[in-house]
Amino acid sequence: MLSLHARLVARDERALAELIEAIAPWLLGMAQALLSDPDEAEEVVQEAFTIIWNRIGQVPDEPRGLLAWTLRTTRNRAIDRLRSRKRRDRKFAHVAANGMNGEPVAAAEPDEAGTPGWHVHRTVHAALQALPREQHFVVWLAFFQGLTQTEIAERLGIPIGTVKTRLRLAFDKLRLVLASLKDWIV
Amino acid sequence: MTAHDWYVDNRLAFATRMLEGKEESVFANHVSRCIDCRAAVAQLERDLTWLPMGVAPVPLRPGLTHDLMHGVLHQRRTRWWQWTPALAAAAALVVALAVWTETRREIGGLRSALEARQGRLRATEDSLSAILGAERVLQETVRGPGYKGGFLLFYDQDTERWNVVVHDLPPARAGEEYRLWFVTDRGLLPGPELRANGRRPTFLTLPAAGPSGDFVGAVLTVGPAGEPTGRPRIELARLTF
Repeated sequence: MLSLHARLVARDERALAELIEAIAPWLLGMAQALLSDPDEAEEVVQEAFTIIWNRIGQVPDEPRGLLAWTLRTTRNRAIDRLRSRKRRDRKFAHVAANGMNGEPVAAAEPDEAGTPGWHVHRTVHAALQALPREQHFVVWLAFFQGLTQTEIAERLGIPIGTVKTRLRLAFDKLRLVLASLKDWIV
Repeated sequence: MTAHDWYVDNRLAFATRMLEGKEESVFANHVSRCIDCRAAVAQLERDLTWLPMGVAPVPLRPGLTHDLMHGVLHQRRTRWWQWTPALAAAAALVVALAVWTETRREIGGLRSALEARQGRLRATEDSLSAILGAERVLQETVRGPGYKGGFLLFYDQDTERWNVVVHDLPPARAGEEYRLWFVTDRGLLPGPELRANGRRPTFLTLPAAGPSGDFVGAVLTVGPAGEPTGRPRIELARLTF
């Protein structure tokens, strides 16, 4: 049986539909977190799938190849939009309004547990929750809100060196946990 | 700290898009040349592959899968149609701008030409008004090889001056000149040179008393350039009162 990657290379439209069904909810979640705009998030996801379909030949056919490429492409497109449209000010306002209250990275609803890749989300979410709160917060600002380390330092009123240290400590821990996860799309 | 240490220190920030735009460009340029940094960044990206899945998934709205499929599979046609109105508008704008610029240029040229013609008309009207109001007007046709011009003399009582006009004469040949002569009771006295260019009339005004007392006529000659001497000149026209 051909892999999803191989079927996409063969221009199998059914494979494209399967890829969308499997990963679009995660891409939309990430894009909406970054852009705070559902319509724009859909546009970014559309762009990401278009890029993947057009450049599938460049995607390495290996574990973490297709999915990693898709996730990274979507996040990069969302951040490009975020920065090119000067929306950081609004993002600042959004962050200021929410502050440290609430759940930085919301847990999925129980009825979403059947979503493909759910076990990955559960592991990542647990790893984030296990971080000290100040590390968790800078990761949230950097990775899920799209702020630069300079913006984070300004937002939190702390030296950029402190931001870098917190991020490095946090990502070192996260890398250990995430390294054990395997691709869930075949 | 070496220059490369900055790159090492910011590998994580680059891999996770946390650098400012300018820093990111600098780092990207470096990564394209530095094998160590390229490998380190690639490793970081692999290690953090699943981190984006820390956010909750968003259930797909009804029809979104179809919309995404349609968008991907019909991208070229969609893009072409999407850009058509913009391209048409841009083309129309360019054409309109070109027409507007050309029209402005033509209007500017026509305005300049009109102003020049109006100036000449006013000058002609002035001359004609003086001629029409003159007590005495004398004129003579001047003919030559390939041309037919005129020599005109009239008195303006308002300004009490004699006015001389030559028109449609070709420019004098090299080394020659047109010259006006006054006819007096003591013979011909040399007057000023008349410069003809063939396109516009040459106008000359003289005091009523003349250069040395009253004169009874004028002669137009062509001959060697310079102060009048005894060298032969050709008489083109003679006007006497």
